Amino acid sequence: MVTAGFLNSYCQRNKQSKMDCNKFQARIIFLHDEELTENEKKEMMEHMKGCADCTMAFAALSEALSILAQEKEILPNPYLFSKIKTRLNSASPDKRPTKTVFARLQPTIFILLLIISVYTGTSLGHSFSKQIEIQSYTDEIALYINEMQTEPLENFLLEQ
Amino acid sequence: MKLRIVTDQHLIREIINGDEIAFRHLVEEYSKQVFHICYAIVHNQDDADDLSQDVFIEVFRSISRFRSDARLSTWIYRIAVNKSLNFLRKRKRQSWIQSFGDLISFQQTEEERTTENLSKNELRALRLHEAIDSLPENQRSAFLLHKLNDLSQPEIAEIIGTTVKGVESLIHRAKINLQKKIITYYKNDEW
Repeated sequence: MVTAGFLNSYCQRNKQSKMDCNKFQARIIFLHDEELTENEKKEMMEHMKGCADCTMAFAALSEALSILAQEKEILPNPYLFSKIKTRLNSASPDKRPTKTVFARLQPTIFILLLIISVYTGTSLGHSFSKQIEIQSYTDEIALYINEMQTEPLENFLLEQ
Repeated sequence: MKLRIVTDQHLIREIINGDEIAFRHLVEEYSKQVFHICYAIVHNQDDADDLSQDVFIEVFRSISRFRSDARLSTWIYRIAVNKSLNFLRKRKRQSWIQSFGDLISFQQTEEERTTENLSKNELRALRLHEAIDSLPENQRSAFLLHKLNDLSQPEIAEIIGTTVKGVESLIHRAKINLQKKIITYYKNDEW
């Protein structure tokens, strides 16, 4: 049976080791780069002996830094100078400013076009709704005239 | 070709006078470092090659404006850092537009397409690059110049325009942030 005292001491130990792990994991990179004092280094090595999780975290970080070290081995293009020379000979320096001016104006032109299209859309929508209103009004008048028994022109002639 | 040991001032004067051999000498002298700076920031060999060309073209065009109170190497490396960071900013904007397009058309994002067919090592390299890219620009530049280009702290300070103490602090913070990211990947089984 698990007693309260045992649980208490277990939690205490766990809490203690968790703190150590946090402290360890906050300094792994400095251990890797050998930027710690002898005492700190010894303390961290001791911790690693009893903690598989921290050992794995150290391995992961070392691996990451070794990827960076491998990138140092990549060499530049051997034809770099020829490529530069070709570009220098073919490039016309006065082309650049035009491109930059256009690039700078691009967002403004885009916003202007957007405003113009929104305005055109709105005014087209308005005139369309007015047309519908006029149409429905004339329809109403036409209906009245059609519903008359006699034409107003006939009445006028009869009266005369 | 006969290589000569020349001072920066002499080299600059020769290049301004149109000496092609002097310019070739300069390219050969600094190409490796410039390429590594570009590669460290953009993580792609072809882009780093193109950027290296851009750097030397810029050097050639503006060498007459170079002030002799700074070191030639520092000036060239600063151009390399700026060009690479500008390239990244431009790519970020383009990828934002791309991912917005993907979202509208319900397509897979660039990252989903990339991570699907990667080996474990390639995925780790990708995660490392993601972690490096997530660092603030100053921290990233200081860390990479220190780690990949083996430059001294005073040199890095001159390149990114800060003090030696500032560089020390930037590298320290970059290391802590990078470590945090990688341990998080490891804990989430993404490493």
